[in-house]
Amino acid sequence: MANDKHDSPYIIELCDVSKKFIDSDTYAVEHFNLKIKKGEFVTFLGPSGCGKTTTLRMIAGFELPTEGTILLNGQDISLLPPYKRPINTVFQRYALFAHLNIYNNVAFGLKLKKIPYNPVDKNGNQLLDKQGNVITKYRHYTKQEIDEKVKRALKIVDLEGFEKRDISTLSGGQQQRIAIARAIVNEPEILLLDEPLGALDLKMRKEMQLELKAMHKKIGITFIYVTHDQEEALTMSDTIVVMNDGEIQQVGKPKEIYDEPSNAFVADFIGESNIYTGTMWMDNKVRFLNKSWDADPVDFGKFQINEKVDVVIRPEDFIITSPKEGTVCGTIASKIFKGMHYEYIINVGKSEVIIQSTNDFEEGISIGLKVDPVNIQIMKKPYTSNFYDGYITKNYEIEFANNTFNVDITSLFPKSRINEDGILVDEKNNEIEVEDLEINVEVPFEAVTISDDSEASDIHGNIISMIYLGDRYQIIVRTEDEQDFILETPDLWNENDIVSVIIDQSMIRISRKGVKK
Amino acid sequence: MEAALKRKRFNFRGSLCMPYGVFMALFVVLPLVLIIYYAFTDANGHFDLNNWKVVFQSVENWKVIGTTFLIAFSTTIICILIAYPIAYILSNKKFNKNAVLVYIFLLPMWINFVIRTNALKDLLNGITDLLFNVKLTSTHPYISIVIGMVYDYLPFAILPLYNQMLKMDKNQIEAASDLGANPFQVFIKTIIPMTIPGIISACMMTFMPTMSSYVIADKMSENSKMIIGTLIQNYFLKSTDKIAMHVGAVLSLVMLTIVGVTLLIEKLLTGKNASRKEGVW
Repeated sequence: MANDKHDSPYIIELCDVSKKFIDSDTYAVEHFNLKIKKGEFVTFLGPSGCGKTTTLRMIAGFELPTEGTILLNGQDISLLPPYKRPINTVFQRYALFAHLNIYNNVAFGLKLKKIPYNPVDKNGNQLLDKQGNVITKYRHYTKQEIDEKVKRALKIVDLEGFEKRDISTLSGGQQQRIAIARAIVNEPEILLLDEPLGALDLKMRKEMQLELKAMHKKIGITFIYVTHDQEEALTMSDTIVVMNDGEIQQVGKPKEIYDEPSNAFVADFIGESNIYTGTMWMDNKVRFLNKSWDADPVDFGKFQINEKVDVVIRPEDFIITSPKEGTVCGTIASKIFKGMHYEYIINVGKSEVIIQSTNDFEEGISIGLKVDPVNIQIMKKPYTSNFYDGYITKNYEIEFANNTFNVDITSLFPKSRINEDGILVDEKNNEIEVEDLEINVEVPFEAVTISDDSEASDIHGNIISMIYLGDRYQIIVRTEDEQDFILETPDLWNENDIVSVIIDQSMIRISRKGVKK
Repeated sequence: MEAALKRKRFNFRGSLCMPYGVFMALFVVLPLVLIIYYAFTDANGHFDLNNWKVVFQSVENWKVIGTTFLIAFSTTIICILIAYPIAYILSNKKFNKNAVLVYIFLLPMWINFVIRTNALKDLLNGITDLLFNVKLTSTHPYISIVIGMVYDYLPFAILPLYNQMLKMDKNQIEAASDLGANPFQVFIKTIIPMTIPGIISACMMTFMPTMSSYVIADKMSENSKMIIGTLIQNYFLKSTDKIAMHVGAVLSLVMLTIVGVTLLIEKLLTGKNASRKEGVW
């Protein structure tokens, strides 16, 4: 194993890793590809349930990937049990051994570890076996070595002299430090931290963030950190991996993620944002808020004219001007003092714009707004329609999402029609057998509306996500059998609301599987 | 004024304990006083230590006490050894999705234990008769008594262990494995220490009743082996000796002391783990 030195700069590589739990139909982590450099501080950031902890547990070895491989220094460790991996974890709830004192908690791993050594004879020569190779034996650490290492680890976490104390006598922050000491004392190649500060109060958390960052610098090992707190991620990391629904949304340095979010989800999740649906215009302009704006030169040529895009502008990037100078005009609807700056909500037409500014303006006055083109983030819109797999029923209705819909199916077959007997025939009056034919169903966002009247339709679901796009909300409704309906509405709903989904049947588009239009 | 009100309310609450107090006095304190009275008096009601002499001078009695200890001890050990893995499997959600299996293990307790013990005796004898042409209960009374005791008291060992294991911190197991402990080391270094309160109460739950029960011993040994319970029963019910009841009272006190000492040991053991004491039943 030791001979197979790998020169790759990456300490750990996740190659197309997917994880599906036995009792679940959906993937917790899907096609996860990531390479992490030695000594990096990487943070997995995402809302709860996005698969970040599952990914971490696969690196630690508590979960095995369903597909894909995990390479450590170029060697496949995907199926290695946790105790054989040179990786240690700091758990969210510390997981300290309550029956051991602090010294024994920290020394736990050291006492188990076996280290290789080359025995020597009386003259100090290395012993050789029959083939002339140096003999390698394994031994435990001596008591002295353990003592020293434990002392050093406790010093790193600033808890010297606590050796004899009982775990229950420590505060939360101290317990977390012991958990860190217990992990780093083993000199792991990678330290995994699973929301380690989640149980601490705000002040303690801030302190520990800085301490962790300093510790990372001091000991120089690779840290992989999991959190749902975007501020924590921005403060501490070299690299942030933003995740949602088991997939990587964006990988980058904190500043890149903040300044150049790759999609509306990242923009919404990291910091406050104004998100609008825009349309690409001629002459490298983008149109939103009913005005044309100069696009960022880096986006020139990336989009087609008239393509729908998401436009993201950070609140601090709007410049307040006099009404004449601004690209758009609006009125200040509200003003909140936030300490470092004021936060204004500006009404521009029917849209709202959130702005942060250090300048003091009166509520209700008219102002102009402009933005430096480099601060306008233009992003490809993920999709504008819902896609489903459906099939045709006996009665020439189409069924998808556990419901049947009346849609003209003659569009599936050129020159077909429905004859006097109500049978689908081709141009030669031969019947076309379509029962159970599988089809692609496309439902544009505009075709979907929701209502809180449970009688309004047979499709019911929960609102699982709601992203504000400046003038409207993009809402995802998930039904009980895990069908998602995405729609856009200017109305404000609440997450977890149970709603009826109404679909305008005339807007449903269908196509045959495997047949290109 | 306020203080008076408080006192009044306190008294009302206290009065709710009255039925329990009466019950305790009638069925616990009074019998205890009677036993002590009988233990230290002769047939005429005069203070006398002769009963104690009778008990402790008889080699037979010492043998019975020794036998009782041996049986209770081996029953407890065997119960723990069997109950531990069962409880571990039951507490694992993978094998026991909605705790139904627990009830399967507890279900035999719904049948009267005399019937159960008789059935077990016949079953054991039938099997050994078929295989070795002997009746286990008459040839190996010790073994059959222990088998009977283990069978009857196993659920009492499983339940506290199962309860404790449900509360086990799975993170600690993962942490041990993360720190380099192989599955065997994880078991020794984290699972056993975490379940010690359960082990202690499981020991108590089997040791104490096996010390005092005599029906199982009688049935499973065809009345050939005596344990303290049998001895006491004999003194009280079967002997015609004038001071028999007084000697029986002494033996009862001896048994009470043994149970008391085991309780004390339990308290000392769990006292050390005071932080995790809750949940021991």
